[in-house]
Amino acid sequence: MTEFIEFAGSFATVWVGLWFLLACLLALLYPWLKDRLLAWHPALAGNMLLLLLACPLLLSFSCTLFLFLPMLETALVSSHCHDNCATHVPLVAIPEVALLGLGVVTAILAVFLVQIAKNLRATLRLQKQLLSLAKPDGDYLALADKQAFVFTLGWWKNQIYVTEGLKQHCSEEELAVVLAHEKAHTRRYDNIRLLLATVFTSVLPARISKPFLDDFHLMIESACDFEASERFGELKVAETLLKIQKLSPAQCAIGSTVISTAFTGSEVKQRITALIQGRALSRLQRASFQLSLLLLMAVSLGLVQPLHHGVEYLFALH
Amino acid sequence: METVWARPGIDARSITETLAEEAPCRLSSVQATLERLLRKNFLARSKKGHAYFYTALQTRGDVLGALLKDVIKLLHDGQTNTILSSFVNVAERLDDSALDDLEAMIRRKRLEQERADD
Repeated sequence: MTEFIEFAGSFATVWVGLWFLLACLLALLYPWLKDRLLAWHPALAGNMLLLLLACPLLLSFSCTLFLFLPMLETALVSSHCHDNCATHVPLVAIPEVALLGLGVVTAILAVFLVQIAKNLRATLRLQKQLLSLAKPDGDYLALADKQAFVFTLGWWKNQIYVTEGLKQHCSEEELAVVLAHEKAHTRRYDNIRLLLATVFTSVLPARISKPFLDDFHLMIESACDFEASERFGELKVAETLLKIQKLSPAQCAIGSTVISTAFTGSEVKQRITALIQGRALSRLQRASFQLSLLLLMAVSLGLVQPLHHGVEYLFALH
Repeated sequence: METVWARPGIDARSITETLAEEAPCRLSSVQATLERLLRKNFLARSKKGHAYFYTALQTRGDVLGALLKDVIKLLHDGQTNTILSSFVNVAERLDDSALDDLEAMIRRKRLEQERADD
């Protein structure tokens, strides 16, 4: 049992250490990558950002596997040996760091799961209460409230809620744009993408992971705007966005107690600008995406060897 | 709350009988729920004989308004964005000049498009 704890703890220490290091490296490179990503069609940009965010987790995990299960390493790490080939560094168990590793991984997991359970409980309770007050109206549920407000709630079976206030101010076509946008979220499994992005960045402090998550959110919202625009045109979607922004509770509640934050470089502004500029999904963009994917794979594979030897060096010093 | 809204001044036994068809539950469960709603100021009660009679202190609109405030708060926190999302960020306010700029940008594009169509 002690041996297993030492093994698992050492594995966790190396894995989380590498994950954190690679995620920090990505955060350092991100300002340079961001402008290039935002120039792409948002659907492609979102996919690429999610892959980039997954890289530190997957790369660190596979590197740690190669270190702890040497029979796997021959695939990507050139053959080498230490101490007359008697042992492989790091030793399978490093008792000094085993407890630390286990503690850190348990803490990250516990915080994450508690947060998810807390949020899930709050939203499910809200959903139950809203369902009892809403009336089905075609593809959505209508809420008898004066505020102009539309939102989607749910995990597997999303439901769109539209207030009477919004219905009074919007035309049938504008409502159809909103519904097309929200249905695109469901079709693309955007809630699962968001959850994955949160998992991939969970090793970073909130201040560092926030720009990634904000940009990813912008990309998936924008991707759904473009999906809706295939049916209604970019300008109609842009007009609808602007109209609903003007009607939104925060916009109408200046000076009141409703929670609001004033932005000048807001998400809505960026989404409308993207629609006006138009970012057609060209063949060139698809080719760039595929090329970037190959480059990402090559860089990841190229990093395996230096990371392997780097960790060995650190523990040999130890 | 639905039953109390429909029949103001109703007692726990009548609520249990009303709910018997849709959601059967015991009198004690109904009484416990009514106690909780009373403590949270959703209901008021008056005693006649041995029974308490309940009236709603908050309208359906008040309750919905409070729920929507919770929705806005959760959207603003952003921690539930895998379950809850809105078409535009309801907690985000654009200043007037930004709104005017966006409107002008859309108008220009619309004109360009109309000219191109002609």
